[in-house]
Amino acid sequence: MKKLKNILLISSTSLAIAMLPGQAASEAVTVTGNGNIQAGVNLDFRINIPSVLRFRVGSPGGTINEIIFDPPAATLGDPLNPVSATSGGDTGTPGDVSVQIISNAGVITITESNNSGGAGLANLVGNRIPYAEIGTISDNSDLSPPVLSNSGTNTSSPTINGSLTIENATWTYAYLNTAVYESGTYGTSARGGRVTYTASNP
Amino acid sequence: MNRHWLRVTAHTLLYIMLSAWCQQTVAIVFNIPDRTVPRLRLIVGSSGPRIDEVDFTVPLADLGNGNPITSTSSISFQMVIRARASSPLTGILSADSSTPLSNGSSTLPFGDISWTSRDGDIPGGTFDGTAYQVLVTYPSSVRVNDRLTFIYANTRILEAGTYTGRVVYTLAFP
Repeated sequence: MKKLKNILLISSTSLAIAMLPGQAASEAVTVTGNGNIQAGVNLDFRINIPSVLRFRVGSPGGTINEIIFDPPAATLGDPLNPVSATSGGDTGTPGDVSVQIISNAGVITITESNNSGGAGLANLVGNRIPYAEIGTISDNSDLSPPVLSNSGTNTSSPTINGSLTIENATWTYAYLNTAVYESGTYGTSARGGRVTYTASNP
Repeated sequence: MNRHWLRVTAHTLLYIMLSAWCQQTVAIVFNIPDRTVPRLRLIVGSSGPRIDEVDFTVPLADLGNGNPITSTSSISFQMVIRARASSPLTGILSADSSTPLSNGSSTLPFGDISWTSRDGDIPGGTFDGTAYQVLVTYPSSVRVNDRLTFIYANTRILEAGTYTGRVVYTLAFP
């Protein structure tokens, strides 16, 4: 900051407006006058916000969570006794999976699919348990899961606010236990037990 | 009479005149006129009619994660605040950021934009989104040259698009 000398020369090659009193609007303004005078200048701002869709089910990174059910023999096939998971998930509670979706791209659809070829979870000898035996509930009605199915085409739509979808939820899986199946271990990623959720902006 | 003698004679006469004048008590007064009209000058960015633009591009990976985004270039601010020495005035630099940035359907408040100052003549701060935010005051007469670097806070997930907005800086004698 420099104190002006008594005699001040101002180079004014740019737009100079004298008003007495008054206001001028440009990007280089000189005003002179007694009383209230003001020089107004504009500055523009531009922010480029990219489109984004972030979707996570379970642990972050490349980890794929596995939910395991061990139906007890005493209630096997009793739909009044659905079975909670004995392990799996990422929240510390077996069967619970944290889910997050962040999008600024408009309406989002979540679609379920699986690697069973439309036949459900298989055991070592090829018996099947349909995906309809696995129920999913959410603690956030704004981020509901699609119902699992053998065909793998069910969808759900998170609540959208304007063009934004920003939701967190915990999805809890349960074995519905509506029928008695051949004994054995069904599913795993090797035998049709992997579900893939796909979030998309149609 | 050649030129040498002309020079000697002129010097002699000047000496005699100064000697005579110095022997008298004479007050010498220089009249420097007090500027009669106060003046303000404000230049933001490039001089001339072009309106400068501060640009931010948020990387996809950083969108809304709170990592601030700094504009690619700083903006020059030049001010002259001048008034009579006998009647000093206070110049006020203010900003009107009351109209938020918009992409046409969604808005972004100017409160998400702050700035730092190269020299501190205009203190660093954050827009408050009002029509009259006093940034700094200066006593007359003063000349200011500073540069501001703007920063987008990047704490929100916003609708995708290009948001534009305008801040009006005003330098005033109230």
